[in-house]
Amino acid sequence: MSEERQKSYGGKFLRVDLTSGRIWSEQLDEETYRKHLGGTGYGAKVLYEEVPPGVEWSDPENRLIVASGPLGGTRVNGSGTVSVITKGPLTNGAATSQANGFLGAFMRLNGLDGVVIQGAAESLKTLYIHDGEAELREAGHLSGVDTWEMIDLLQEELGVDERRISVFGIGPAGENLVHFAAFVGDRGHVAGHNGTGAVMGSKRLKAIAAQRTPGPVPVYNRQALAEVATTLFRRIADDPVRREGVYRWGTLRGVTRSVQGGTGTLPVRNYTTNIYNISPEELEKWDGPYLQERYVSGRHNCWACRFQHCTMFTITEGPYKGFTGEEPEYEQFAAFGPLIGNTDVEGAIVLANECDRLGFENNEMGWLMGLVMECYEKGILTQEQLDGLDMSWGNVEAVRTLMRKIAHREGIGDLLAEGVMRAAQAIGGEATNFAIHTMKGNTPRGHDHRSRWTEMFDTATSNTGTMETGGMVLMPLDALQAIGVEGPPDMFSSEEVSTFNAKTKGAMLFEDSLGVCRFNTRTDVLHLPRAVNAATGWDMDPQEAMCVGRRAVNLLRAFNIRHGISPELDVPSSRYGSTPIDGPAAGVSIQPLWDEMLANYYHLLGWDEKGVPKRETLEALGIGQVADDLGV
Amino acid sequence: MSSVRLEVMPWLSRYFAAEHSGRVVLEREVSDGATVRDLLEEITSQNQELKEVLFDTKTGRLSGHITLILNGRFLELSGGLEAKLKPGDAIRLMPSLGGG
Repeated sequence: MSEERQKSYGGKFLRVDLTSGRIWSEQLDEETYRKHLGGTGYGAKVLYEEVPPGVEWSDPENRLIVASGPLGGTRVNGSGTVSVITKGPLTNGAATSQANGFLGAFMRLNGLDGVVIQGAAESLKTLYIHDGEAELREAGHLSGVDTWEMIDLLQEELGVDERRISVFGIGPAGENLVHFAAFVGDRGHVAGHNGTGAVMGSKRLKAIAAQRTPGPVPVYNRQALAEVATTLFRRIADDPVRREGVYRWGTLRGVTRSVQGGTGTLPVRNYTTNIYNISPEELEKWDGPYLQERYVSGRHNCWACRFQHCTMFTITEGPYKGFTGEEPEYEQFAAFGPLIGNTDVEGAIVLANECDRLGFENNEMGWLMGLVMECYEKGILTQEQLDGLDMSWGNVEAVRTLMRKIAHREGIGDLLAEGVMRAAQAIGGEATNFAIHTMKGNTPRGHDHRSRWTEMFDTATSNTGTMETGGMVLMPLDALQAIGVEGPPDMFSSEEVSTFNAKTKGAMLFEDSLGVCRFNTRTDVLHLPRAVNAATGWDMDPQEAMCVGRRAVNLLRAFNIRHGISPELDVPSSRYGSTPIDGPAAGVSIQPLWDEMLANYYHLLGWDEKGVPKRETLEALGIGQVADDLGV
Repeated sequence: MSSVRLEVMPWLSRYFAAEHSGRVVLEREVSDGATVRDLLEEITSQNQELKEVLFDTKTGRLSGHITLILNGRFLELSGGLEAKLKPGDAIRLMPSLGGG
């Protein structure tokens, strides 16, 4: 390997042992880096190799990997993204989650692709990366502060302007080991699935701060990378649908579009209905033009991103006048709007921001509030049991109070801090029939998946603690065809959905190994390998890219099996997989088809009839030692 | 002949009304026995760009990037493109929504 090549592609990771305070770095050899890349690919490898069965999520021996990848900090739009990988508390299995912002880019500017945290500190610490070096700092004064105050205080302490530092960490929820605590930073960005923040809390690491150092990130062929970056951007900005959609508004219009389109994709009142009962006048207030015209107080773009979402909001009227926060994403609106029976958009903006500040993952919070409200409506939880709170549908202030109690594990908040599945089991009785989750223990993203079978099947079979295949129905058609898929499936065909999910499996985890934002790159497996080649000098094609993703898929699958998560848990809870009583898919159920979908899916992935990867599958991916570990 | 209502949601509506990015509602006359496919082929007959947006040109299926709701129900659950139209039918056409 030439020195020029070595310098160009990166592959250097910081290692931090919080128990001993030791900090060192490791440089991957080229073969290993090409096989796993950064982000989720590298994280899956470290998790599999360094966290053996018997190590629980809160054990100091658990690893917390925060990583960008070979495209991080480059001119590729949205290349400030990091992937967070660990063993998480909700499934007690693998967790992978992504956050946008700046951290990935600033780590790359410091010469690092990412950081691997192990051990647990005796007192609260901050990891500060600057000038190509890193140090652990005492953070006792940050104890209990929320994820926005954390940024304010660290900027002041470090004497660095906000534009020159990225800060991600945990709020009170993470410090108190709430099982769905998140890794939150840069005012509005969250990698929160499967309790990443709880793991960070168990290690007593409050924050990771990275200073922006002079660039640029070294790449193999700057001109070629600029050309691919432009192509990726133009494929969105020149697309008539996306130009008026995600490019202009991000996800802000998701609620209004779902209602007006009658698509049934909004999660309403914990799946008790599919109809969001909201007047046209109220609905208009949830739309991008109304909100951005009234409340935008500043831009808040991520690294190298030209999208016109991510703004700062200041509410200028009504009971929340003067409240300042970040423009919510669709999933926050879904959680704090239809899911809890709330039609007041300003209330949803406040809840979305408080959820982030306290350090929660917002989807799990929405499903949890939906469960509590349904239990309250049906007399399973009383006002007395809820510490005096009136948890009627749509009561924003009660939700606000309950979130704070959960963050501090006060009263009923201590039970609810365990997440939806365990809280329902503790409440008992009918509550377990109302709870929406996978049988592994995590909750879905923010849609009603009963009319989105690709997503429900993906969520329930995933080994990441969230979706693993992703929304591949929106991948560019030529990219789908480059990996041998003709096009999106019939959304209600068991065979087409399970085949589609199996054939696209790996694309998302490849993308999550690069350090880029999915909104900007659309999991474009046709052009993303070209970007990797420009950054590294390699000759990766879409098939090799898919192998990188499949390698991570199989490592995470094997990790979960070895950690006691049986493939028999590849199913949704009864309410999650229930039959909608109204809406555009009323009366249609995926449940009777589930077993045949699993059989087809396992077969196409090269797994046996019980969902265990076969030896030949693992050997073909160059991870044959995993077959020995699994005894197959 | 019978009349059906075609509602085109924002982002797709620009193909039906120049410079229009809001919702467009059209009344269309269709012949007796006409199917959803007949209607879509008729409205795309003079518009190749729209045809390529609505259809998978290789297979003739509705594009996976498009969602069609027929009388409040997904087209896939209502007989697909070969479903026969009746007077007063309501067809809603929109880009598929993405995300989790």
